[in-house]
Amino acid sequence: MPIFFINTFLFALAAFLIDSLQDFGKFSPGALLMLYAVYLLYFAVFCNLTLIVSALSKNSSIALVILLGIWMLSCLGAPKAAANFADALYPYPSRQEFLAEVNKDKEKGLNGHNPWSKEAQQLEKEVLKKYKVDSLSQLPFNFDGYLMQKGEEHEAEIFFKHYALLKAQYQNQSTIYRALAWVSPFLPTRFLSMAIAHTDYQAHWNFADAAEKYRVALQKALNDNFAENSKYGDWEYQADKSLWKSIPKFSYEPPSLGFILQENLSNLIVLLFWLGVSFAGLYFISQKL
Amino acid sequence: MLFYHLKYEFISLFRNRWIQTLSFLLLIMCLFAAYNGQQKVVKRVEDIQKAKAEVQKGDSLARLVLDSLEAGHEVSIPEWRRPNLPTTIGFRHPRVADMPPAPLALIAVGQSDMFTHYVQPTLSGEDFTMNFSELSSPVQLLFGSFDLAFVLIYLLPLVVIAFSYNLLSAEREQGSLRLLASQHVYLLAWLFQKAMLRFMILTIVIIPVIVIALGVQGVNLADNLRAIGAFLGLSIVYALFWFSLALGVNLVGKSSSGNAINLLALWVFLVLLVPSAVNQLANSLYPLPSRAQMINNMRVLQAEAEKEQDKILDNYLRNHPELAQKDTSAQEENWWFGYFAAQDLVRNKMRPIVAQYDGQLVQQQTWINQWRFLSPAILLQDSFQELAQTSTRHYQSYREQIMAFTESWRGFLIPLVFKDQKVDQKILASLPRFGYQIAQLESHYGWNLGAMTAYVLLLWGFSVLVYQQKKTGLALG
Repeated sequence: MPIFFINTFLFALAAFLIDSLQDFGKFSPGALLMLYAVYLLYFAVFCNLTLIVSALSKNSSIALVILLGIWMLSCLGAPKAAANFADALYPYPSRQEFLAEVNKDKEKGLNGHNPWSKEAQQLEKEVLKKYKVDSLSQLPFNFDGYLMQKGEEHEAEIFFKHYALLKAQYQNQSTIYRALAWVSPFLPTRFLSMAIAHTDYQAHWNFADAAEKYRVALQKALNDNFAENSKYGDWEYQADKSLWKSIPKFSYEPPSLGFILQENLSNLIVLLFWLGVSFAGLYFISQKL
Repeated sequence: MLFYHLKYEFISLFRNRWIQTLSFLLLIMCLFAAYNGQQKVVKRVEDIQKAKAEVQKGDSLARLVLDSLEAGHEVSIPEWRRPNLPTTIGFRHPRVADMPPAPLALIAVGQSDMFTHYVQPTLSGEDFTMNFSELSSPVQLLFGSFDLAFVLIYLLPLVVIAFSYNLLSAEREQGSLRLLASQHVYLLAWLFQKAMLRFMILTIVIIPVIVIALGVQGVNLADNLRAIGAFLGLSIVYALFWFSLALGVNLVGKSSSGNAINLLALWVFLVLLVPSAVNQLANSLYPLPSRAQMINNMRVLQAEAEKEQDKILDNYLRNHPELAQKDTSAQEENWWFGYFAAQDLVRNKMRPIVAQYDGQLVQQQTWINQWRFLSPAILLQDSFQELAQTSTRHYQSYREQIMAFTESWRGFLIPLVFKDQKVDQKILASLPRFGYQIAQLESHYGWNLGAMTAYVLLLWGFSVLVYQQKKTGLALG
């Protein structure tokens, strides 16, 4: 009961404080309520564990030491051990290695700023053939702009590929965290609370992906404008205000609470499992007393 | 009399399986922690080796091409990518500037999961914006590593608390304290010996446990005797601090559960709260300027420089007459001349911004150094990282060494560009090499050990004071 009241009081206070902040941004009462529920579940699990241990122990001192041990293992040891296992089994590449791989792929393809490369020459031939003309200046658009856009697309694809590999590695690491969540109620609670608060890795990626998508669209608008409105060899071209007006503003919509809960269903299930098992244990022991 | 008490105490600890549990628990934790620490060290060494192998591969290829060129054969590589150009060597054949792990690197992961252990500076001139942070999952960074530092700083005090929170209160609760008080025993000496017996047992257990854990992971014990001794010595004084704290709390408190709660509150305060508050304050008081902002500034300067490339080159050559050629027409033709001259200008303009960044970092470090005396946990962490050479100061020194190396890399190759000199086998063999020098930092070890000992003495003084005041009340409860 006291834990319930303290938790309720703290969350009510948080809601009040967040609501009174002027520049807070989007406040979602539903998310706060969900966070409150998650923590209630978590505290209930620990209350049950405490009762079970104290019912089984000979004296209060031993109970305290055992509970201290449980806390040490589940809240301090397990997360660190999980992080170590995850990193050992699915290591991230070093930054230098990652960049070297990106550069290797970049060199294999088109560079929008190097019209003398083999790939650029190839593209030139293809475009000339397609438009049935013999020189670049006869094209209905500025080939330099077109080349830059093609190079940009190639580069974006490479980064997408390599970041996808990183993400895949993180997903692999997540399987370790999920597996170890059965050992410690701390892990599912921590992941759920980060996810609901939009401060987890997924939230970061969700935003980064949206920003990258916007960047690609922006680059395309600029390159296309350059290609369509200037002549081949004309590097002095300057766009006017209308170009900037036509480019949409970046707007970001974070994923909904329902979506987040769906993504974190396994964590929620594990937490509920902990609650169920701890209640069952408590019931079983109280029958025996 | 005291001897019998101690003997009885030892037997009771043994029969309660305290000693066995303690030994087993510490052994498992230390073995696991040392294994984890070593895994990171192995990955670090492998990454560096892989990068060095790549460089060697590139070098042998470059040697072959140079051979062919010198013999007048045709090569299929486009002219601008041939290794006889200093710019090709400067950009495409950079050296590996690595920071190899120290022999005891496994004891504290420290900053090693944050920073990279090798970089390959090129001629790009953007070395000051070089990213030294390592790629790692943020969850990994959030949870931290289960290394020996974690076991000793965080978990060992909890073991000590579990071992000694009821030194006096249990006797009182069982009624044996009244009996004891009626005998010719100086209560404080008896209590002190009780705490020291537990401390001795813990020391006897922890020394072989740590030595085994290090030995299993392949640390050369004989070669690193001094460092291992320093590591063990500090850990033991840290344990003594927690036993002394338990002694004081036992004298002040009444019930066992009250003592346990007080000790846990002190643990949370000293091990969790104070270190994070000191760190947090360092970040708030001396915030680091944003890296993105720094790169933006650099881009603006670069764009400005590009516009005035010719003027810049003239000024540059005026400042560096040794690089000017007699035939100026050749210099006007080469695109690289303008590039390096502009780069020099951008670098000079960026210097104050970089200095501000470094200055904030130094301020943060100074702040943390000053306030580290607030908690023995910070003192221990500081010394462990010093022994493992994974402290912020070590990485700062590595960064400075990289900057100096980049200067010599540029200083070696850029004059070749300006003098239009081709790279041959001889030049390739004499390229600057990076050799990491172990940071010559002022050691904190003596201060940290001294401060921790002072804490212990203070706690003993405090215990004597409390005892003097409560003497009779203690036994009666």
